Amino acid sequence: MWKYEKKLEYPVNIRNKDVKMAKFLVTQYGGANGELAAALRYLNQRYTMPDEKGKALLTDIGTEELAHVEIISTMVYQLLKDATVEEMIEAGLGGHFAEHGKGLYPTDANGVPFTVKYFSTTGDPIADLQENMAAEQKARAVYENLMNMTNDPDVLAPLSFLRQREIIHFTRFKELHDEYKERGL
Amino acid sequence: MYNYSNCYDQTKGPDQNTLRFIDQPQTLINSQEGFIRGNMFNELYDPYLPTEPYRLTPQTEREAMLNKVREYTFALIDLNLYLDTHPNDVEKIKVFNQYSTQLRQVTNEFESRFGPLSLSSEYLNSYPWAWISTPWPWEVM
Repeated sequence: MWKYEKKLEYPVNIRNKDVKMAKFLVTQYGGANGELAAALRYLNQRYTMPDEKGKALLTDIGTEELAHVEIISTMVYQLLKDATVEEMIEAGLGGHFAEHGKGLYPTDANGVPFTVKYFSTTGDPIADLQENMAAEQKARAVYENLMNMTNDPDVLAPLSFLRQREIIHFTRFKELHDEYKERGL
Repeated sequence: MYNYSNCYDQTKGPDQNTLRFIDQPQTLINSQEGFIRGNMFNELYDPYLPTEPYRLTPQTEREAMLNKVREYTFALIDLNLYLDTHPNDVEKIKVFNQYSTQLRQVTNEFESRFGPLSLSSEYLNSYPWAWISTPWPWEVM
Protein backbone atom coordinates (compact mmCIF):
# COMPACT_ATOMS: atom_id res chain seq x y z
CA MET A 1 0.00 0.00 0.00
CA TRP A 2 0.99 3.62 -0.10
CA LYS A 3 0.92 6.38 2.50
CA TYR A 4 0.45 10.03 1.65
CA GLU A 5 2.70 12.76 3.02
CA LYS A 6 1.30 16.26 2.86
CA LYS A 7 4.42 17.84 1.38
CA LEU A 8 6.22 18.00 -1.96
CA GLU A 9 9.54 16.18 -2.33
CA TYR A 10 10.97 19.51 -3.55
CA PRO A 11 9.26 22.89 -2.97
CA VAL A 12 7.31 24.59 -5.79
CA ASN A 13 6.28 28.23 -5.36
CA ILE A 14 5.70 29.77 -8.80
CA ARG A 15 4.73 33.39 -8.39
CA ASN A 16 4.20 34.40 -12.05
CA LYS A 17 1.67 32.73 -14.31
CA ASP A 18 3.03 31.46 -17.63
CA VAL A 19 0.38 29.75 -19.70
CA LYS A 20 2.70 28.83 -22.57
CA MET A 21 5.14 27.15 -20.19
CA ALA A 22 2.26 25.20 -18.65
CA LYS A 23 1.36 23.92 -22.12
CA PHE A 24 4.92 22.65 -22.67
CA LEU A 25 5.56 21.43 -19.13
CA VAL A 26 2.45 19.24 -19.05
CA THR A 27 4.33 16.70 -21.17
CA GLN A 28 6.29 15.70 -18.06
CA TYR A 29 2.90 14.86 -16.53
CA GLY A 30 1.17 13.02 -19.38
CA GLY A 31 3.73 12.61 -22.19
CA ALA A 32 5.56 9.46 -23.33
CA ASN A 33 8.63 10.37 -21.25
CA GLY A 34 6.71 11.95 -18.39
CA GLU A 35 6.59 11.14 -14.70
CA LEU A 36 3.18 9.43 -14.77
CA ALA A 37 4.35 6.99 -17.45
CA ALA A 38 7.54 6.32 -15.48
CA ALA A 39 5.75 5.76 -12.16
CA LEU A 40 3.17 3.39 -13.59
CA ARG A 41 5.68 1.56 -15.81
CA TYR A 42 8.04 0.75 -12.92
CA LEU A 43 5.25 -0.17 -10.52
CA ASN A 44 3.78 -2.41 -13.23
CA GLN A 45 7.10 -4.06 -14.13
CA ARG A 46 8.18 -4.81 -10.56
CA TYR A 47 6.11 -8.00 -10.22
CA THR A 48 8.28 -9.91 -12.69
CA MET A 49 11.69 -8.71 -11.54
CA PRO A 50 13.76 -11.84 -10.86
CA ASP A 51 15.24 -11.03 -7.43
CA GLU A 52 14.86 -8.94 -4.28
CA LYS A 53 17.09 -6.12 -5.54
CA GLY A 54 14.94 -5.70 -8.65
CA LYS A 55 11.63 -5.83 -6.80
CA ALA A 56 12.94 -3.25 -4.32
CA LEU A 57 14.42 -0.88 -6.90
CA LEU A 58 11.37 -0.85 -9.19
CA THR A 59 9.07 -0.31 -6.19
CA ASP A 60 11.18 2.48 -4.74
CA ILE A 61 11.86 4.37 -7.98
CA GLY A 62 8.20 3.95 -8.99
CA THR A 63 7.20 5.43 -5.64
CA GLU A 64 9.55 8.40 -6.04
CA GLU A 65 8.13 9.00 -9.53
CA LEU A 66 4.68 9.37 -7.95
CA ALA A 67 6.14 12.24 -5.92
CA HIS A 68 7.44 13.71 -9.19
CA VAL A 69 3.97 13.49 -10.74
CA GLU A 70 2.84 15.64 -7.81
CA ILE A 71 5.65 18.18 -8.38
CA ILE A 72 4.87 18.54 -12.12
CA SER A 73 1.11 18.70 -11.47
CA THR A 74 1.71 21.43 -8.90
CA MET A 75 3.84 23.40 -11.37
CA VAL A 76 1.20 23.17 -14.12
CA TYR A 77 -1.53 24.14 -11.64
CA GLN A 78 0.40 27.17 -10.37
CA LEU A 79 1.40 28.34 -13.87
CA LEU A 80 -2.27 28.27 -14.97
CA LYS A 81 -3.95 29.36 -11.75
CA ASP A 82 -4.45 33.04 -12.59
CA ALA A 83 -4.81 32.68 -16.37
CA THR A 84 -7.85 34.11 -18.15
CA VAL A 85 -9.75 32.19 -20.83
CA GLU A 86 -8.32 34.58 -23.44
CA GLU A 87 -4.77 33.87 -22.28
CA MET A 88 -5.36 30.14 -22.49
CA ILE A 89 -6.74 30.42 -26.04
CA GLU A 90 -3.79 32.61 -27.03
CA ALA A 91 -1.27 30.10 -25.62
CA GLY A 92 -2.81 27.22 -27.55
CA LEU A 93 -4.77 25.82 -24.60
CA GLY A 94 -8.22 26.73 -25.95
CA GLY A 95 -8.92 23.05 -26.63
CA HIS A 96 -7.80 22.15 -23.13
CA PHE A 97 -10.10 24.79 -21.66
CA ALA A 98 -13.04 23.55 -23.76
CA GLU A 99 -12.54 19.96 -22.59
CA HIS A 100 -11.19 20.37 -19.05
CA GLY A 101 -11.53 24.00 -17.95
CA LYS A 102 -8.69 24.77 -15.55
CA GLY A 103 -8.56 21.12 -14.47
CA LEU A 104 -5.34 19.15 -14.87
CA TYR A 105 -5.31 16.53 -17.61
CA PRO A 106 -2.33 14.31 -18.53
CA THR A 107 -1.30 15.06 -22.12
CA ASP A 108 1.94 15.74 -23.93
CA ALA A 109 2.95 19.24 -25.07
CA ASN A 110 0.84 18.79 -28.23
CA GLY A 111 -2.30 17.87 -26.29
CA VAL A 112 -2.08 14.13 -27.08
CA PRO A 113 -3.69 12.33 -24.11
CA PHE A 114 -1.77 9.91 -21.88
CA THR A 115 -1.96 6.27 -22.95
CA VAL A 116 -1.03 2.98 -21.25
CA LYS A 117 1.10 2.19 -24.32
CA TYR A 118 3.76 4.19 -22.45
CA PHE A 119 4.02 1.31 -19.93
CA SER A 120 6.16 -0.69 -22.38
CA THR A 121 6.43 -3.92 -20.38
CA THR A 122 7.81 -7.16 -21.84
CA GLY A 123 8.21 -9.30 -18.71
CA ASP A 124 11.88 -9.77 -19.66
CA PRO A 125 14.01 -8.08 -16.99
CA ILE A 126 16.85 -7.10 -19.35
CA ALA A 127 14.47 -5.63 -21.94
CA ASP A 128 12.45 -3.84 -19.26
CA LEU A 129 15.53 -2.37 -17.57
CA GLN A 130 16.93 -1.19 -20.91
CA GLU A 131 13.55 0.41 -21.62
CA ASN A 132 13.75 2.17 -18.25
CA MET A 133 17.33 3.34 -18.79
CA ALA A 134 16.28 4.85 -22.13
CA ALA A 135 13.20 6.39 -20.52
CA GLU A 136 15.34 8.10 -17.87
CA GLN A 137 17.66 9.51 -20.55
CA LYS A 138 14.72 10.74 -22.63
CA ALA A 139 13.15 12.38 -19.59
CA ARG A 140 16.49 14.06 -18.80
CA ALA A 141 16.67 15.40 -22.38
CA VAL A 142 13.09 16.72 -22.18
CA TYR A 143 13.92 18.47 -18.89
CA GLU A 144 16.85 20.17 -20.64
CA ASN A 145 14.56 21.25 -23.50
CA LEU A 146 12.12 22.68 -20.97
CA MET A 147 14.91 24.47 -19.06
CA ASN A 148 15.83 26.18 -22.34
CA MET A 149 12.25 27.48 -22.67
CA THR A 150 12.03 29.57 -19.47
CA ASN A 151 14.03 32.15 -17.49
CA ASP A 152 11.89 31.92 -14.35
CA PRO A 153 13.99 30.59 -11.42
CA ASP A 154 10.76 29.48 -9.70
CA VAL A 155 10.33 27.05 -12.62
CA LEU A 156 14.00 26.26 -13.27
CA ALA A 157 14.81 25.15 -9.71
CA PRO A 158 12.35 22.22 -9.58
CA LEU A 159 13.17 21.29 -13.20
CA SER A 160 16.85 21.16 -12.28
CA PHE A 161 16.08 18.95 -9.27
CA LEU A 162 13.90 16.59 -11.31
CA ARG A 163 16.49 16.38 -14.10
CA GLN A 164 19.12 15.29 -11.59
CA ARG A 165 16.80 12.53 -10.34
CA GLU A 166 16.69 11.09 -13.88
CA ILE A 167 20.48 10.74 -13.72
CA ILE A 168 20.32 8.86 -10.41
CA HIS A 169 17.50 6.60 -11.58
CA PHE A 170 19.38 5.84 -14.80
CA THR A 171 22.47 4.90 -12.77
CA ARG A 172 20.54 2.57 -10.45
CA PHE A 173 18.72 0.86 -13.33
CA LYS A 174 22.07 0.43 -15.11
CA GLU A 175 23.69 -1.10 -12.01
CA LEU A 176 20.86 -3.60 -11.78
CA HIS A 177 20.88 -4.23 -15.53
CA ASP A 178 24.64 -4.86 -15.59
CA GLU A 179 24.41 -7.25 -12.66
CA TYR A 180 21.57 -9.20 -14.30
CA LYS A 181 23.55 -9.38 -17.56
CA GLU A 182 26.58 -10.68 -15.72
CA ARG A 183 24.50 -13.26 -13.87
CA GLY A 184 22.84 -14.30 -17.13
CA LEU A 185 19.28 -13.46 -16.01
CA MET B 1 15.46 -8.89 6.55
CA TYR B 2 16.36 -10.39 3.24
CA ASN B 3 19.54 -12.37 2.91
CA TYR B 4 20.84 -10.97 -0.35
CA SER B 5 23.63 -13.50 -0.60
CA ASN B 6 20.93 -16.03 -1.49
CA CYS B 7 20.06 -13.98 -4.57
CA TYR B 8 23.41 -14.66 -6.18
CA ASP B 9 24.44 -17.52 -8.38
CA GLN B 10 26.76 -19.35 -5.98
CA THR B 11 28.46 -21.21 -8.84
CA LYS B 12 30.04 -17.99 -10.14
CA GLY B 13 32.36 -17.47 -7.18
CA PRO B 14 32.73 -14.54 -4.81
CA ASP B 15 34.51 -12.14 -7.15
CA GLN B 16 31.68 -11.65 -9.56
CA ASN B 17 29.09 -11.72 -6.85
CA THR B 18 30.38 -9.34 -4.20
CA LEU B 19 33.12 -7.13 -5.61
CA ARG B 20 31.18 -5.66 -8.49
CA PHE B 21 30.67 -2.11 -7.24
CA ILE B 22 33.89 -1.59 -5.34
CA ASP B 23 35.71 -0.03 -8.31
CA GLN B 24 33.01 2.65 -8.60
CA PRO B 25 33.27 5.12 -5.72
CA GLN B 26 30.02 6.85 -4.77
CA THR B 27 30.81 9.26 -1.96
CA LEU B 28 28.13 11.24 -0.16
CA ILE B 29 27.78 15.00 0.04
CA ASN B 30 25.97 16.50 3.08
CA SER B 31 22.18 16.37 3.05
CA GLN B 32 21.67 20.13 2.68
CA GLU B 33 23.73 20.37 -0.50
CA GLY B 34 22.51 17.00 -1.75
CA PHE B 35 18.90 18.12 -1.44
CA ILE B 36 19.28 21.31 -3.47
CA ARG B 37 21.31 19.39 -6.05
CA GLY B 38 18.77 16.56 -6.21
CA ASN B 39 21.68 14.13 -5.86
CA MET B 40 23.51 12.90 -2.75
CA PHE B 41 26.45 11.41 -4.64
CA ASN B 42 29.50 13.49 -5.58
CA GLU B 43 30.61 11.33 -8.49
CA LEU B 44 27.12 11.14 -10.01
CA TYR B 45 26.34 14.86 -9.86
CA ASP B 46 26.01 16.10 -13.44
CA PRO B 47 24.56 19.63 -13.56
CA TYR B 48 22.98 21.32 -16.56
CA LEU B 49 23.10 25.08 -16.97
CA PRO B 50 23.61 26.90 -14.69
CA THR B 51 26.16 24.75 -12.95
CA GLU B 52 25.39 26.18 -9.50
CA PRO B 53 22.32 24.58 -7.90
CA TYR B 54 19.37 26.83 -7.10
CA ARG B 55 19.39 28.03 -3.47
CA LEU B 56 16.10 27.74 -1.64
CA THR B 57 14.67 31.01 -0.33
CA PRO B 58 11.88 30.12 2.10
CA GLN B 59 9.63 33.10 2.87
CA THR B 60 8.18 31.78 6.13
CA GLU B 61 9.40 29.88 9.16
CA ARG B 62 7.00 27.09 8.26
CA GLU B 63 8.55 26.73 4.81
CA ALA B 64 12.10 26.83 6.26
CA MET B 65 11.27 24.06 8.73
CA LEU B 66 9.49 22.06 6.05
CA ASN B 67 12.65 22.28 3.94
CA LYS B 68 14.57 20.55 6.76
CA VAL B 69 11.97 17.77 6.72
CA ARG B 70 12.32 17.58 2.93
CA GLU B 71 16.11 17.54 3.19
CA TYR B 72 16.26 14.45 5.41
CA THR B 73 13.41 12.80 3.51
CA PHE B 74 15.42 13.28 0.34
CA ALA B 75 18.64 11.91 1.85
CA LEU B 76 16.71 8.75 2.79
CA ILE B 77 15.14 8.44 -0.68
CA ASP B 78 18.49 8.68 -2.42
CA LEU B 79 20.29 6.37 0.03
CA ASN B 80 17.44 3.86 -0.22
CA LEU B 81 17.86 3.59 -4.01
CA TYR B 82 21.64 3.22 -3.60
CA LEU B 83 21.22 0.51 -0.95
CA ASP B 84 18.77 -1.41 -3.16
CA THR B 85 21.67 -2.09 -5.54
CA HIS B 86 24.44 -2.04 -2.86
CA PRO B 87 22.84 -3.92 0.06
CA ASN B 88 26.20 -4.82 1.64
CA ASP B 89 27.48 -1.26 2.16
CA VAL B 90 27.58 -1.10 5.97
CA GLU B 91 28.74 2.53 6.10
CA LYS B 92 25.84 3.77 3.97
CA ILE B 93 23.37 1.77 6.08
CA LYS B 94 24.74 3.63 9.13
CA VAL B 95 24.31 6.98 7.38
CA PHE B 96 20.77 6.01 6.35
CA ASN B 97 19.87 5.36 9.97
CA GLN B 98 21.45 8.61 11.16
CA TYR B 99 19.31 10.57 8.68
CA SER B 100 16.30 8.53 9.71
CA THR B 101 16.77 9.67 13.33
CA GLN B 102 17.19 13.29 12.20
CA LEU B 103 14.07 13.07 10.06
CA ARG B 104 12.01 11.86 13.03
CA GLN B 105 13.29 14.78 15.11
CA VAL B 106 12.58 17.54 12.57
CA THR B 107 9.23 15.99 11.60
CA ASN B 108 8.14 15.96 15.23
CA GLU B 109 9.31 19.55 15.68
CA PHE B 110 7.50 20.66 12.52
CA GLU B 111 4.25 18.84 13.34
CA SER B 112 4.19 20.14 16.93
CA ARG B 113 4.10 23.68 15.52
CA PHE B 114 2.37 23.41 12.15
CA GLY B 115 0.24 20.30 12.27
CA PRO B 116 0.34 16.77 10.83
CA LEU B 117 2.22 15.87 7.65
CA SER B 118 0.86 12.33 7.52
CA LEU B 119 -1.87 10.18 9.02
CA SER B 120 0.80 8.46 11.16
CA SER B 121 1.39 11.76 12.95
CA GLU B 122 1.10 12.08 16.72
CA TYR B 123 -0.59 15.43 16.19
CA LEU B 124 -4.03 14.29 15.02
CA ASN B 125 -5.56 14.18 18.47
CA SER B 126 -7.22 17.61 18.34
CA TYR B 127 -10.62 19.09 17.50
CA PRO B 128 -11.65 19.88 14.81
CA TRP B 129 -9.91 17.29 12.60
CA ALA B 130 -6.38 18.69 12.04
CA TRP B 131 -5.70 16.88 8.74
CA ILE B 132 -7.83 19.33 6.74
CA SER B 133 -6.63 22.48 8.50
CA THR B 134 -3.09 22.60 7.06
CA PRO B 135 -2.14 23.74 3.52
CA TRP B 136 -2.06 21.30 0.59
CA PRO B 137 1.29 20.88 -1.17
CA TRP B 138 0.20 22.48 -4.46
CA GLU B 139 -0.75 25.77 -2.83
CA VAL B 140 1.76 28.62 -3.21
CA MET B 141 3.32 29.30 0.20
